[in-house]
Amino acid sequence: MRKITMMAVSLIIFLCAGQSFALERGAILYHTSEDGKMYGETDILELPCSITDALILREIKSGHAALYIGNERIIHAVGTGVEEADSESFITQGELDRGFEYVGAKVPVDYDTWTEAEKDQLILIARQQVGADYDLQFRHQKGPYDDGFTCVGLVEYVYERVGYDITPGGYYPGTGTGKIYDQDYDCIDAGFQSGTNTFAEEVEFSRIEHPLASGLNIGMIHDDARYIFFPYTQYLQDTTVAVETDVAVSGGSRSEDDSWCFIATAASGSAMHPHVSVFRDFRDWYFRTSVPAAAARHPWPALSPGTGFSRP
Amino acid sequence: MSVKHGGSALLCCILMVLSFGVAAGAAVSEDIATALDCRHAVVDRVRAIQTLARSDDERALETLATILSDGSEDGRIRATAARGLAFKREPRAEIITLLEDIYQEPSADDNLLYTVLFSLGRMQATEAFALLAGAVSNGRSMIRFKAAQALGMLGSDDAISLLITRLDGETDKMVRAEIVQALGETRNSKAEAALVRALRNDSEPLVRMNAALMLGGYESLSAAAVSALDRAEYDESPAIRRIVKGIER
Repeated sequence: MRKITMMAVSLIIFLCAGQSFALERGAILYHTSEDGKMYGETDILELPCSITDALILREIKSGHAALYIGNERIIHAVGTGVEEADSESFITQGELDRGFEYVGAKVPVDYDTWTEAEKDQLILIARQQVGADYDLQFRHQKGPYDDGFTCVGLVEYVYERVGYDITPGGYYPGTGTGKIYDQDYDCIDAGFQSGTNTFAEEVEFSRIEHPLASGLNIGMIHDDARYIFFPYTQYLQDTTVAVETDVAVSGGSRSEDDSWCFIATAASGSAMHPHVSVFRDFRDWYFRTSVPAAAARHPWPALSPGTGFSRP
Repeated sequence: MSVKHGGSALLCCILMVLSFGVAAGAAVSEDIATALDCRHAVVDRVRAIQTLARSDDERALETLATILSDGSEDGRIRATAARGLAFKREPRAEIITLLEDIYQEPSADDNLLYTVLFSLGRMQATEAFALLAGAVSNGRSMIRFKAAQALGMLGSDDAISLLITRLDGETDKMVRAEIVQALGETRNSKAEAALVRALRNDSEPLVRMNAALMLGGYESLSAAAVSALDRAEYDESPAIRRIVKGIER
């Protein structure tokens, strides 16, 4: 009788508990763009040629990244800003039909040593960014606020705020570790010019050379060159490891037209984003608002389980 | 002769200025048309709205207000317009009223509401205190979270007092942690006392951790704060112990 009672209680607890998922809050989700393509994943680093394609840089085939915040919800930066959404809308049904593919989920290598409070802190910081702008021109990419975020920039920023540097800061001009690809832009808009595009494998920013980039004022400027932080660069880092995805991350019905991560457009107001180092922004913000001077050298020592990851 | 040349140069300058003005006006007109027309791609409309937000042209304000007020418009386009208006900041009273009106809409989508609250905070809209005071007691935790964030950005005495009161009654740890952050960022002495209480008494490590972090941001600490930080060196949470050890006092 006692055994039966125990079994019944266990069954009730099981049923009441409902479905539980193993994917942890704080996991980073990645998907490709159309036809399973993701900039940097193949050797050919092609950028769109015509101004029509360039104005809608979905054609860049950048892929997308989002932060899983638990309870089948995500926070991500899309063209209309930083928003919270159902995880199943990470890849919409329409995108699936167009060949978008789920790449996987990753968490920090030592995530099992993070306390629950440290994981919660990631979500707290991500929630603070909801309602912020999207960085249409990739001039800052890691926000905050009016400077705007790109999808991968948001994820990197949130992790940096808790002291975990997923992707080492830096620029890859074509020397070092990464990929290089010479592209001929064979269309009238681009003046049939050529350029050398790169893909950074060990630092955040990849140099792009596009005849229209200057006119459209796209990319973060460094040493007179233009740079973009791509999702696949972050995905490649060994500071994170792949984990199983057991929540719905596709098939949702979010509006197709605004689901891009990487878009760009011409700016009529050229001064809308003066060039300021994103790192300086971050450090200034942090010093001003959060930490004592002694702790500022290591912004969040307690939340830097892998301080060794903060490579120069 | 020189007068003639000078006159030509002046005429040339005037014509150039006029032509630039005409070109700029045409660009704004194009942006307005794009922003308002739902047949355009969302990316183009977002670009147009962001550009209008940074334009001095008087028509830009009206366009953004029209988009924001249109209940049949896509919620995310409206959110972009809300951010654009908050970025413009002037005319302040009208923009704040518009944002408040959106918050009262029963059918406004969640992300639009979050954006409205966030934008009021970014504008330091003390005029919207009553709305934010209501929002920080809303039934939905994310609304309370964004309202607390906005109240912290206001930084006014009544906002701080309200946040302190809410800290005691709030049941959601994430919202409490945000209240603690919002209070801490004001660097206010009343807020410091609330942080000390949170560090000493809150049951959630997340909240205590943020209280410690925020106290670490104060240039000088009260004796009570130093004492609470000293005690927190023995907190059950290793994360809090590590943070506290890094704080000078």
